[in-house]
Amino acid sequence: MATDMQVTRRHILQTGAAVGASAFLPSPSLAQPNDSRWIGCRKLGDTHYATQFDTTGKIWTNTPLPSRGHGITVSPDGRTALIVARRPGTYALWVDLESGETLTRIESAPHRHFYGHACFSRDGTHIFMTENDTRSGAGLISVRDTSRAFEELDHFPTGGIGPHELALLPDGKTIAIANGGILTRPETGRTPLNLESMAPSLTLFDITTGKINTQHRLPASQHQLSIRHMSVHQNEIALALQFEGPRNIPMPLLALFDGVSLRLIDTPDALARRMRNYAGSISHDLSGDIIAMTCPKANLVTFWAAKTGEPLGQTRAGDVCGAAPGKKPGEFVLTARADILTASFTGHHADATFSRSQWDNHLTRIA
Amino acid sequence: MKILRFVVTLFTLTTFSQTASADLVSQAQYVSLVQALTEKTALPLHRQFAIEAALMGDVMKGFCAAPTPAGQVEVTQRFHALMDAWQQVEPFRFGPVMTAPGPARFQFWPDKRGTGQRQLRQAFKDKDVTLTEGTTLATKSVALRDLQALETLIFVKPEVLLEPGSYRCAYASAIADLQRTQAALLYDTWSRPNGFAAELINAASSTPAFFDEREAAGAYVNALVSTLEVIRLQKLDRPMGLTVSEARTSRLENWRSKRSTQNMVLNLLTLQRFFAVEGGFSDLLRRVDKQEDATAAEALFDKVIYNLQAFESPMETLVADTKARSNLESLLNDLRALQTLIQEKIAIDLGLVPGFNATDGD
Repeated sequence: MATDMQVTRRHILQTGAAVGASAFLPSPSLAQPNDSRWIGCRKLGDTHYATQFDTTGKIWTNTPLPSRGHGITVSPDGRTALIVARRPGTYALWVDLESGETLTRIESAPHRHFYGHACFSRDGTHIFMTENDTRSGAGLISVRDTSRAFEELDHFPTGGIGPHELALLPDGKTIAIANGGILTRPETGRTPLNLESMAPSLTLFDITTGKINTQHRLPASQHQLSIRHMSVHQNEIALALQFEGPRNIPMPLLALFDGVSLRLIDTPDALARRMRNYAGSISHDLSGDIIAMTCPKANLVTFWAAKTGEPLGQTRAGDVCGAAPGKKPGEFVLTARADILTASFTGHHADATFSRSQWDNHLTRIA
Repeated sequence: MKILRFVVTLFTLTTFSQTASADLVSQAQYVSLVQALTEKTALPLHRQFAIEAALMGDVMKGFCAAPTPAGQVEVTQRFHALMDAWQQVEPFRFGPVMTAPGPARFQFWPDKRGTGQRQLRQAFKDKDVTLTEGTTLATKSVALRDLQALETLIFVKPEVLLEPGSYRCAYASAIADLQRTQAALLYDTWSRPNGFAAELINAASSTPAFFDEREAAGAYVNALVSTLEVIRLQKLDRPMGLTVSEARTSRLENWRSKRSTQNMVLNLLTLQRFFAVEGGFSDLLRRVDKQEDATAAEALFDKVIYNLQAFESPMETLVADTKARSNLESLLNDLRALQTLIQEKIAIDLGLVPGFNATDGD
């Protein structure tokens, strides 16, 4: 590759990484303390929406989606969000959080599709998206310019197959990428094609160089534990896993990365059995001390001490999946079927029900 | 038109109460349900598919060796018999069929990007001989080796098949052979000792495929709901378009062989069997005092199947026919009512609500 291009690429990336966050604090209109809002995708009849709501059940915005949506990432200024199609979708919508209007529709490049998640650079000038190169099956992270209709500037390998959720770390230049390890192709939909050989990893990608800094894997004997979702607090990453092996072998589903090493959290056998080998979403609370991990196949929410991985409690809720920090430390807002729940490790209560709706996998706190 | 469909949808949804069910169904009743559905629907239907695929392979091979007009008629008949069998198996979207590369190895549809036809055009242009050999064909794109590709080879330019030593015939024969192998393996994976049927039936003891008997029973509820949704949205609504002027015959599942209506009927007959067989959903609903739901489902199955079979023209004509539009709209509404009844009433009655977020990994 030409040196000029490398310089250009690096310049673009460094520009995105270096601008301070102070100019992009959440706008006052969306950040009032008693005005907390969340946004998630939901199905109503045959139509899908990205819906911004508060815990009184008030809908603030309701953006129709072309098909099932997945992850939603909010821009650092709190004014816009990017909604990414469920894999193997090819669209993403950039929406105004005041009006709910779609500002830009992004399409994946030919022979590529999105993997459902994205994250902004600290200054909001760039967006990073996990993608699949459908010809090679290689995972990619693409870099797009938010000021130029999300034009793709470049893309880089993620060092694995099936990258899913990604998050910018507090240093503003490292992106953690969960390489789920599962190969799929558009022509065969969501069917996993490589369960015997899958090799998931946590990749730390440097956006100033476009290179992978380090990769972390679970032991080879646990190669069917797909690393798919994450929550970041300071330099710690909590990872939610999905076991693709036999159902009758219970497996731990929480892993913690402390900045140095990746650790699968020992889980009591009875709890592992209850979780049914499948975690759907994961979130820290506002304090960063507690983690909630949802297990929709088990209709279960599990709570863990963020530092130690000690299980703190569980609560049952039908088809619960979306999880985000709640209004107060120790609390989480969750989505389960048509309901919005507030939960802690001592239990949960329903805040609101969105009649005839089915909330989708993820939930994002806006302010 | 879109507004009308939405209004009807709301009405349909609100006609069913959302009462949550207590644990009405015992573990033994779930096991009995799964056993009945597996032994009386899944196993015989997969066996029939394997038999038809073998017959198709034999007939195609014989025809290509000595092509005659009479032989071509037999090839066409065998294709329809094979598709009949496949369409009855298609609702079983769980278990062995999901093994890589999934159901698309039998039928790559819907093909919204036209991948299959694009690849086939290139294959015809290149006369790619690797597609005429089973071992190499098996490594190709699923769109080049599925039943849709076989349909194109048999029904588009059929006169070419009669040419001695034709490339198309050799290619069609290779696909038929591959389908025979795949269908045989599919049935074997279901039926062998400790195979998938056993995993379903023994799910109460936790098996590699199922945590418990409720998850196994839920697989059949998911099959009901997802098949009804595919019929309604993919097989009917999408080709219809919102208006007659937006109808697209080429979006029908098997417009080349004009069997798109028959496909829907056969899908529905399998689902109807889930209720009708001894020990099936209807029996279980009556045992837990939910006979009104069983009766409602049976009536809706009868109605949609009867109405589909009552059409005098093929769906390939109907979707673009103004006079047929209201009947097709009614059919869509009935299919939605049936799906809603199962998803929002029966599944709750039986404690088997399909998990929106729990269907597959993401």
